[in-house]
Amino acid sequence: MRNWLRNIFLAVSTVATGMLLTLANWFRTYRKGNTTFAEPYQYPEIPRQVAPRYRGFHRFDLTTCIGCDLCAKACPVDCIYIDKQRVPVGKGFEVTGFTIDYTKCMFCALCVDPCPVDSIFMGSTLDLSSYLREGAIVDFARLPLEIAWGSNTLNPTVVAESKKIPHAVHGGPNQPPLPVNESP
Amino acid sequence: MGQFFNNLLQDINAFLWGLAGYSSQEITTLAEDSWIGYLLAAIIQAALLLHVLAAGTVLFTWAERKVCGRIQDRLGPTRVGGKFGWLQSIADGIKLLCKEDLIPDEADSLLFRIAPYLSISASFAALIVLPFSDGWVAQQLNIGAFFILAIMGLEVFGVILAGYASGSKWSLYGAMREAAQVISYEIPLAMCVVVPVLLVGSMNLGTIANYQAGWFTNWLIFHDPFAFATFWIYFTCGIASVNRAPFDLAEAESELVAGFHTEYSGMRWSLLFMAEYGSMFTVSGLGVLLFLGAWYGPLPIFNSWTSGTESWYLAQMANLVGCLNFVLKSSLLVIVMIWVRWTLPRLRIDQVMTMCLKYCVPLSLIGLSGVLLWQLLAIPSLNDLAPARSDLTEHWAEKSSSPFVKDSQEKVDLFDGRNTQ
Repeated sequence: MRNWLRNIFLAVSTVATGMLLTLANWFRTYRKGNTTFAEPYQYPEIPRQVAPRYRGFHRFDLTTCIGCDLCAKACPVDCIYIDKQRVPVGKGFEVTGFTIDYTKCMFCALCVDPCPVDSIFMGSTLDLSSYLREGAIVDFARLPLEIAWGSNTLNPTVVAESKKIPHAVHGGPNQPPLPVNESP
Repeated sequence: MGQFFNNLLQDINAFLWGLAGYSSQEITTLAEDSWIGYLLAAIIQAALLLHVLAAGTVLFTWAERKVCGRIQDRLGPTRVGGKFGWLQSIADGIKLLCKEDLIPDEADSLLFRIAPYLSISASFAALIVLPFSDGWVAQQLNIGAFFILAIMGLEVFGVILAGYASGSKWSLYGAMREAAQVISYEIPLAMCVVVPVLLVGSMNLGTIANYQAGWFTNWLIFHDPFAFATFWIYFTCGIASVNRAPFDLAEAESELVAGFHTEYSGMRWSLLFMAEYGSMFTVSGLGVLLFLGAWYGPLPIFNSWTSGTESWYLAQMANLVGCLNFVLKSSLLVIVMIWVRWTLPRLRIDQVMTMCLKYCVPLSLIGLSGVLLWQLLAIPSLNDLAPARSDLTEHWAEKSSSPFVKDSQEKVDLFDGRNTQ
């Protein structure tokens, strides 16, 4: 009997607590200056403000990447694929493809720390939607340099455009500039 | 031919006057015997009530999405039809109308097609005896409270048929859970409904409502602590009997795909959906009628208009305000249901049954006996603080001169007894 009464008391009190909690959450959204999506036409039209250290889609600098594979090795889900070839003159590699598979990426930022030349960072782009999975596989070496390096410039259109480009847009730091310019 | 139309118009006229309570012997006999007038009046009332069901569903789905959005730190629909997404439900309705009407090969075709209609008919039929204001009711029954409970219990047949006829194990599981749950919860629900019936001494919903005229202290929820507790038990059982979360085991998305309506699509699915939302409104409306003062506001502002029967227009204005009052209160209860849904997680089926058989049934019985004792020992009640004027409470009974109302004189006497003692 005591147990029964205790159960009833527990049921009523916990339900009341929960209901008050959601009620508080509900009315908090009407507060002035709240941090939720308070304006109806805010989010897709106006880009969402993100926190300073938000880990969004990567930003990548092809002009400094030396193709050392450290980021790909650090990646816990192995979603970074680097294509490279030896430069004809001098030492080092020419990066011919830097692909991140965002169907696998979990935005842990472990690829950012090992980079010796600081060529990869987490950007602030938070949405990259596409109708096909192909659209989630981004080859940063084929994106325009300012798009790949911009903090929130990545978008589905440029990713789709990049699929049509046969070669990397830049030779990388180890490429002597003259031969690259002469041989397209 | 002209003679026929002449007769027809006379019939309608006579019937409408008869409904309005004009008890001239000649007119009322004409109205009673004239099936055409009866049919036309029935069609008008059915059309109006159908709009309660349809518009209610549209508004409540919209409210549900807005409220759930707010509770989850979102906005809900904002695009369709302007700033607040007013037309979201309409857009959804058009989408549902355009969808393909699928019937699985495994399904029992006839039963599969009948089930949604059965469900929505039951949900719709319960509205027939639900008074929206003083005398604004399609059919005033002496046993209104009992009728509503009985008819709402029928809704479960539609769901069981839907689950059985779908030819899918998920649907069948959902249907069996629904059967177990709804039939169990009918018992405490009925026990709770008995409490106001016992206090007023009538199953006529209009009589129960008029008993609560005047100040908010006259509402039956404030009669005594037991009645107060009984209302909350009623509301819990009501949520369970209309299959809302946390009792929505019949359509437990995480376990049963969508339960009994897994195989339904398009308009058939939306009929089942409308039945659910219609029942939500009916259960809330019944709760308001029985416990929360029906169409009377917390302060007796418009009551002097109703009592003054000399002005028909003023009385109708008061009725209109009362109707708004009733709809507002019922909608508030529906919003509480929505709020509950987005707060509490779904129970397991054994927890649902435990809650009904080990908690709700004994508690409702305790409530019933408590109220009984309270009446028996004549303990002072909050309802006696500011008793309504007797001309108010008798008003409904006076109206029963309409040919379809067979209210007995004894109940009127009962009122007098209550107010004079």
